[in-house]
Order: sequence, then structure tokens, then C-alpha cells
Amino acid sequence: MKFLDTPVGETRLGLAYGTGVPGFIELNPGLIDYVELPFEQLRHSPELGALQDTIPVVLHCASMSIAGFVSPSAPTVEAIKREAERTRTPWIGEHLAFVSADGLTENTDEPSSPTALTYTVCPQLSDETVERVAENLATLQPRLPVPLILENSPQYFIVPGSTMSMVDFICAVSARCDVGLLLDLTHFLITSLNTGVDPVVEIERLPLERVVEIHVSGLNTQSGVAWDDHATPAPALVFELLERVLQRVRPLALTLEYNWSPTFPHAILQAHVARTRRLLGRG
Amino acid sequence: MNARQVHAVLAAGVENPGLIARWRREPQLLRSYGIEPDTVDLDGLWKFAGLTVKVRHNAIREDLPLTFRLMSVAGLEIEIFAAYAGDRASKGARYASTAEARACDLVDFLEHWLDLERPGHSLLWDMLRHERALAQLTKSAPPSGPGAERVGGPRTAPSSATLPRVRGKIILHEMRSDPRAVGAALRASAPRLPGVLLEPAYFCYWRADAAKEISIVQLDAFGFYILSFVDGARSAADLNRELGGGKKPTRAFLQLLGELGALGILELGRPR
Repeated sequence: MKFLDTPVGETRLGLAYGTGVPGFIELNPGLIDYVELPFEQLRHSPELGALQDTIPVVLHCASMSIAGFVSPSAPTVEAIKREAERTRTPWIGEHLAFVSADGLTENTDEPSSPTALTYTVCPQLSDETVERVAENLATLQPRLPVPLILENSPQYFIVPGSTMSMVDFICAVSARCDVGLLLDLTHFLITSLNTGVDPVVEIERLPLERVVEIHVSGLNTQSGVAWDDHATPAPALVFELLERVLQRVRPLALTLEYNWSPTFPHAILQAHVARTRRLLGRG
Repeated sequence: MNARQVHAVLAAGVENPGLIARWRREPQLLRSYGIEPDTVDLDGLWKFAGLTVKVRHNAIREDLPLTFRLMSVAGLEIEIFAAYAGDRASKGARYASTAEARACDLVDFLEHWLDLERPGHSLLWDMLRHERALAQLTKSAPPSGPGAERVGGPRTAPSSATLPRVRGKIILHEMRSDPRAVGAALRASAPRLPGVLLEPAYFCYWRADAAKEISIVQLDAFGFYILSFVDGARSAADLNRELGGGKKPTRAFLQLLGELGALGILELGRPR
């Protein structure tokens, strides 16, 4: 098995796992340092673990509902711990979001089973949620062998009861918790576009010194809203934001997320890998 | 507003978009959950539910790359998958466990949902059927048997008694565009679709017995309808009558049968 080393001052370059990724790695040996694998896919298809015979793995996760009020089950946390130990991932990236919530019943006296989603949702951006994130981190982090880092959500609509912007929310979580950040630049741009703020100004307000890993992917504007899209190349503005971030911080890893389409063109992927390597000074 | 309740409402709406439709009709229901109706962007939530369902269909992109590309270029992905999410929720239907079954369910939905008077919808319906036909023929195991390697047929002159039979497997689609041309346009970095003409076009997707390649044959309307009636049991005279001809097939009809035989799509056999 191969494991990722992450020396300070260097940025490892990875790809988010998709069915087309092993073929790309085989055709381009040495170009990519690691593959980011979702815990949920590993749990569902343990045979994916064999990928680590070829290339190191960084574990990503969408099951802990860090910004939610329904905690993950003990078996789920135990399974995440096992995968973290097995893969020797340097950290676990988890969404600053929720993926499960209380069930809804019209009769509030009746208990209902929680609603478990397959996709993370941007939480209410409020002091109440910041406190909840802190509580969840305090509970979960000691049960895991490596640090959790938190990934900013894309915001598609204003969440009721929100009292702060996404950047303020991330700043508040960072101030309240000793935690690293996974800065998804495309999520950040999407949020900026959908909430009408200037991403170039807002990015400077983030606690960039906390950034451990960066995500880059595409976006797509449809029905009047900017949406996350891992099947299209990242726009120029995402790379402009990346340049700005790299002027202030040297993350340990950068992951290109082009994993929604098995037929994502290799030529575009190679071009974006080359562009990213140049920005990282690894051209 | 209590964050816990807000999350519960949002999650319930994403999980079951039928609830969002209900909250649109009866916004006061949200108050019973402690949520002020004016604060919930139900339209945004509805579209977000569409995004989550779109992502759940990533596995079917393998067979439908240009269909998804077209949906994206035409700005239809979110609209389509939000409507699909609502449709599945209203039926209480779960998403199928295999990619093939998910693709079939989506095709069934789109067949009724798409408005073919809208050019983007019409192009999409054609592209979807084009890629499905290619995928279905690719996955179908080639039959074996005598003469399986033959591609072109002998130039025998058909007669009234000739018994035409499809050699291999065909899928017929009547379209309003040429998906091959649309596909070429979609491969550009900045596709321009409005220039694609919407004209009737008749396609036969054909995989000959044991052949690896799939042929796409563009036909005229007459050839298309002849092929759609060929069943290996009816003679040329029977087919001619089915298509509104007289007792005796015309020379043009027999000539067309001969051309389809020469292409190799039809085997022109003698009656049993």
C-alpha cells in the first residue's frame, strides 16, 4: 500500500476519485500524488481500497453531519476510524454542512425517524450552528486517529434564520474551534455568486492560514443559480482565486474534482493538472 | 428560528420534493414547524433537490455523455432533475439500484415530460434515444450462427413472395435532428446549438449478427416504415399491403427492399 507524505511547504496534487481516474493515473504515471476517496464509496465498495496499491489515498467524508443536530451512528464513526487507520490518510475532509436531520411530523408529540440524505446541505449560518459545530467536533475528533478538516459548503439559497454570511460563519467556526479548513474554491465562488458578494474581496477575509487542502472543480449556472459541477472544467475565476490564496498560504494538498463524468476528457484534465502544477511551482 | 427545525424542514423537502409542492400551496404549514413561510426560498430548495438527484444519476453518464452535455449546454439539467425528483416523490418511487434501470426510468419520465415544441427539448429527446440505442446495441450479446459474419447481402431481386428478415438487431427512431451533427457541435468548447436544424430524420441503428460495429443508417420515410413492419413472418406482398399498397408490390417497393438487402440489414429469403 502507498501512503501520502505531506511535508510542510509543499503541496501534493490529487484527483477526486471517479471511475475514469484509475485509467488516467495509469496513462500518466507520476503526474498525480494521491487520490481522494469518499469514505461512503469505500464503505459501499471495499474493493476500491485496492487503488492504494497504486497510489496514496486521502479520505473524504460526507457522513458526520458536522453542522447538524443529528449525530452519526456509532458504527458509522467506527467505520470512518477504521478506514482512516487502514488508509493512513493524513486527515479527513468533512463538509461544514449537515446530511441528516430530525424527521418531520405534523404532530410534534410523535417521534419520527431522522431524515438521512445522500448529499450535504448548507446549514443555517448562525451562532447556534457555530456552537453545534464546536460540540460535534469536540465529540468526534477524539474518536478519530487523524485531524478533521472542514470544507465550506456551496450556498444555493438563503437558509432561514441565518444571521451571517458564509465567510463570517467560517471565521466564527475557526475562532471557536481549533480546526483546519478544506477550502473548496468553487463552492466559495458559487456562494459568492449566489449571495451577491465579491469573491475577490471576500476571499481575503477568510482565515487562510487554516487552509490545509484546496478543492477545485467546475460550476454551471442554470435556472438563475450557480451550481457545483464536477463534470465541467473550473472557470478562470477559480484559478484567479487560487493564485490569490497561494500568495498567502501553502496548503498541504490540492485536489481537482472532475469526478462526476466517467468520460471527462483526459486532454482537459491534463491541461488543468499542468496549470495547477505551474501555479504550485511544480511545473 | 431554531436551526434544528430549519434543518429538519430543509432535509424533508430535499428528501421528498412533494412536500415543497405542498408548502407552495399551503405555506402556513411551515408555521407548524416553527418556520416563517416568507423566509424559505421554496424555489431554491426545489432546484437544490434537483441537483441532488442529478448527482445520484452520475453512473448513467457513461452511456449518455452527450445527453448530459446537451442538458448542461441548454441549461436544462436542474429544471429536468428537479421535475424528475418531484415526479418520483409524487409516486412514492425509489431510485433504481442499477445504472441501467435508472436510465430506463429517466427515459420513461422524459418521454412524457419533455415539450417537443421547445427546440432544446426536441434535441435532447433525439440525443437521449441516440445514445440509448448505441448503448443497447453495444451491450446486446451478438448471436452466433451460420452466415453470422456476412455484412453485405446478395443482390437478389425481391419478389412478392420474398420473406424479408432483419439480419441482426435494429432500433428505429424518428427524429427531428441528426444527433451525429448535434454531437459534433457539442464537442466544441463553446457549443452553438440554435444553428442545428429541426427537420424530420429517420434513423436505423443496426448491429449485424456477430458484428462488433454498430451502423447508423439514415433512411427515407418509406424505408423507415418498411423496416418497422419487417417481422420475419410477413412476405413482401404482406408488407406492401400493410403499408397501404395494393395486392401486388410496386417496383419502387421491391427496389427499396432490394437496397435494404444489399446494405445487409435485411435478409431476403424465400417463403417457408
